[in-house]
Amino acid sequence: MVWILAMIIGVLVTVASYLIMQRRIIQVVLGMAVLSHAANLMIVASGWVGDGKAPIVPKTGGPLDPFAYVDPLPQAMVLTAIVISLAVTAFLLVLAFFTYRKFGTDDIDEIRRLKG
Amino acid sequence: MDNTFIIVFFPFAAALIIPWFAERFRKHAAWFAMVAPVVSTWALFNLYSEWAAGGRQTFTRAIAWVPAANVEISFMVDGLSLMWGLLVAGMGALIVLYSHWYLHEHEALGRYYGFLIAFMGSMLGVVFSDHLISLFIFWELTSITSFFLIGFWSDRDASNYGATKAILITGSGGLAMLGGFLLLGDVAGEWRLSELVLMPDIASQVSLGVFLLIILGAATKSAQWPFHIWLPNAMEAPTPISAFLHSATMVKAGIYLLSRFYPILGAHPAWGYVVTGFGMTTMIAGGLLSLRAYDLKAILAYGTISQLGLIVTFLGYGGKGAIIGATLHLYNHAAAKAAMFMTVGIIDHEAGTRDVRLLGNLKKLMPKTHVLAVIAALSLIGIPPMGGFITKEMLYEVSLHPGGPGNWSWFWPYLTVFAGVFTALYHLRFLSEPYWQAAEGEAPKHPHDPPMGMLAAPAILVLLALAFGLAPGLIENAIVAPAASATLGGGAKVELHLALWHGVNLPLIMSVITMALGLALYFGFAHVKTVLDACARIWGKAPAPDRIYDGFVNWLRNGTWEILLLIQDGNLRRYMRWMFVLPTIAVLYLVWRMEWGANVFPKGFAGASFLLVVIALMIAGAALATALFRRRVPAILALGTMGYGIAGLFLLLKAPDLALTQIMVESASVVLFLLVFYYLPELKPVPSSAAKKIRDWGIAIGLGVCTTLVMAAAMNTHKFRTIADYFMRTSKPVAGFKNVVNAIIVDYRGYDTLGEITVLVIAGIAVYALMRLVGEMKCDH
Repeated sequence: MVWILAMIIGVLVTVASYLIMQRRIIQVVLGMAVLSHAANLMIVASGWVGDGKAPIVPKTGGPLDPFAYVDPLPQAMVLTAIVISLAVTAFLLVLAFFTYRKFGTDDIDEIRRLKG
Repeated sequence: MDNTFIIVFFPFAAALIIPWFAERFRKHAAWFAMVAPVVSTWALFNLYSEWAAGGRQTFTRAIAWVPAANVEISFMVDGLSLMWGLLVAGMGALIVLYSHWYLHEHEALGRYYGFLIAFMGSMLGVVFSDHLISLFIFWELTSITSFFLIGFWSDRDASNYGATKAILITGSGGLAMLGGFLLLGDVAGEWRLSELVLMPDIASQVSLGVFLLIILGAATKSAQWPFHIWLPNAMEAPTPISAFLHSATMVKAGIYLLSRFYPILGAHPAWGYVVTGFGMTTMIAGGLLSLRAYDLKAILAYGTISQLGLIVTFLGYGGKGAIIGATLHLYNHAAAKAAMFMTVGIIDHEAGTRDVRLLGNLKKLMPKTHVLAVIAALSLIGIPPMGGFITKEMLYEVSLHPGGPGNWSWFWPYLTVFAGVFTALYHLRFLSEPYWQAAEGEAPKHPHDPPMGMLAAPAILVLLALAFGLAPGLIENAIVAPAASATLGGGAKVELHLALWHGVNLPLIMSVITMALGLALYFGFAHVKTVLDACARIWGKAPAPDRIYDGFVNWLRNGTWEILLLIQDGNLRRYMRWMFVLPTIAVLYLVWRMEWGANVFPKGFAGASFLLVVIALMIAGAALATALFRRRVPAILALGTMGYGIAGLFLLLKAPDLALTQIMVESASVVLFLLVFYYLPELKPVPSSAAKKIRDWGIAIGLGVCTTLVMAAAMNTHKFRTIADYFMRTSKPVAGFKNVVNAIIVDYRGYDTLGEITVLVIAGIAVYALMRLVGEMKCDH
């Protein structure tokens, strides 16, 4: 389980960093989206314990063994992060769109050249 | 408040407020600045009487600074520190007095007096410091303040060059000295000078490296050859600064350090060779260079280098007589040389040039200045009845009975006479070329004597030099003897009976020989000059220290520029590559060095279900497809597929809330992508070479592999839990939630969520604004 999770994250980081290093703004935006997935997964995975249950406590209350559950804190943080990454992606997309309309190209080097 | 702390810290406190007054009351700036040296001197006199009343015993004052590291700010009061303190504070007062006339009203007076007074505080800190670390800190403060003072006229290239050179050379030496201090403190297990002095066999425990590091600090500061090169360039400073820092105090900090370390390291086998070696080379090099200079300040600068070399030579040779001679000469040189600098400043001020070729006949034009210059120069040459004569006789006397280690005794008197002849020669030149001879060229201004106030400071110094000669009893046993005693260490008794007339003895004959030779060379100076110029042509081909310094600094500057261009050329993708490569290297290094593996990484694929493998393949495949698809819609759909796969993975990771959120967000972002991509061109990549593709994939895969390794290690080690236990326990009873994640989102970390919503709103506004802009923008392509 651990290795497979780690490998998924590794593949996501590979794809994200490859896309971010490309010349086209669209690819960079896609790369950022993939990278935020990778980051979210990392944080959630770090709170995961082997045979833990979802962090939902029984209705009955009373004393409970905290080690029987996965860590809820990373989950809560990632919940926030997922929503924010949507906002970031939306902003980046519009920015890419804006840049394309302004310069007529989405090639970063071309834009640098046009800006002088 | 203890006197020592007043002496050292009052100037620093004053330096903070003086600029304010100096800028507002420009006409009277100097009088505000004057408060600092006056208060320090007053406290010094109090301290002196305290020390004298206590039977002249060394005592220390300390406040803990970093007790854990055994570092303290501590001051030591003994003959040596008192003598230096009086020298620095007294000279400081005279320099401020002189500056009042030297600087124009419209100059940056606040900066000038602020740094000047801060320098004085630093210098007082150096000479009173007991703890090695506080000594180092004050030492570096003198370098830093001197940097600002040399570069006072920062619009001049030469000032900036001189300031940089000074701080680079003395700063490097200071760092070497810090290394030496740390090692010395470690070897001795003691950081206080007052204690180190009492450790008799410390010199034998110190290695040659440590010894050289400390000496390097002294040699760079005191402009010993080949580190002397910063001093002539430092002459770009305003002349009062040159008089204060570069003749009387800062350049003598190295001498102070050698005096202070003489009882500690004097017994080191290398002391005699290294210190004397530095001193003699410097003395001769400085003397020769002085004879070829045309700038009056350069003549004095090289002369100062030469005199510093002489003092260092004596300190290196060691022994009671040599130490007394060095101490006496130091005092005399400080007074006379500073007075000479001040007369040069007057000439510069009144004639507009310091080039001896453009100056002439100043004897008639500036008679008062001339008198002061003559007395000061004669004192240094060693003509009675000036104080310089006594010290010169003392040095000759010492050279006959050196009393130090080694078997160079025969050589000593010749060397001293040689130094004396040089001293006479360049001081005669200093007097004759501007004052007595006719000028070769025309000075920019018609020179005349300055106002009396400007003459006051050099006059006081010259009177001191005279008084020292006529009535040496004034300071011999009150100041000089305790200083020499402290330098010798071990409670050495020093009694001085100085007088001008000792009868006809060998030293007097040596003096006469010196004068005769000096005058002979002076009258035959044209020939001397020919020989020197011929020598200079030969030297010119050798790698002079100056050229090595310039070459090194240029190499450093160009080299750093090239490195900067290599990693920061404005190409963002190159930055990204660096940011991806460096962590990869760091992680791989960690894996290799810390022998990760057996106990860090999980073994096998325990817990892997069929479902997990399917989801994993789906995510990986979709991710790769996102990177490789050339068409817009398939790429976006691949991205969406990946997102839904991750939602499934969240379920497997026991995060149902995340899975739900992910599905919703992913749907929204797919729609967004589709909306925007409709207006964007196809994803067909910009053509790039196969090599670049391989490089990018290589970097990406490297980073991916490292991430995998780090994540596997991180997930396999649960060293501690977060505060999850608290949330789990209190969620139901306190917050009323069964779902702990929900409790955290809306309750425990409610402000986080508020922040998140704010980010969403801001992003929404930004998106809206940009879309409006796009709408208004006419597409001109």
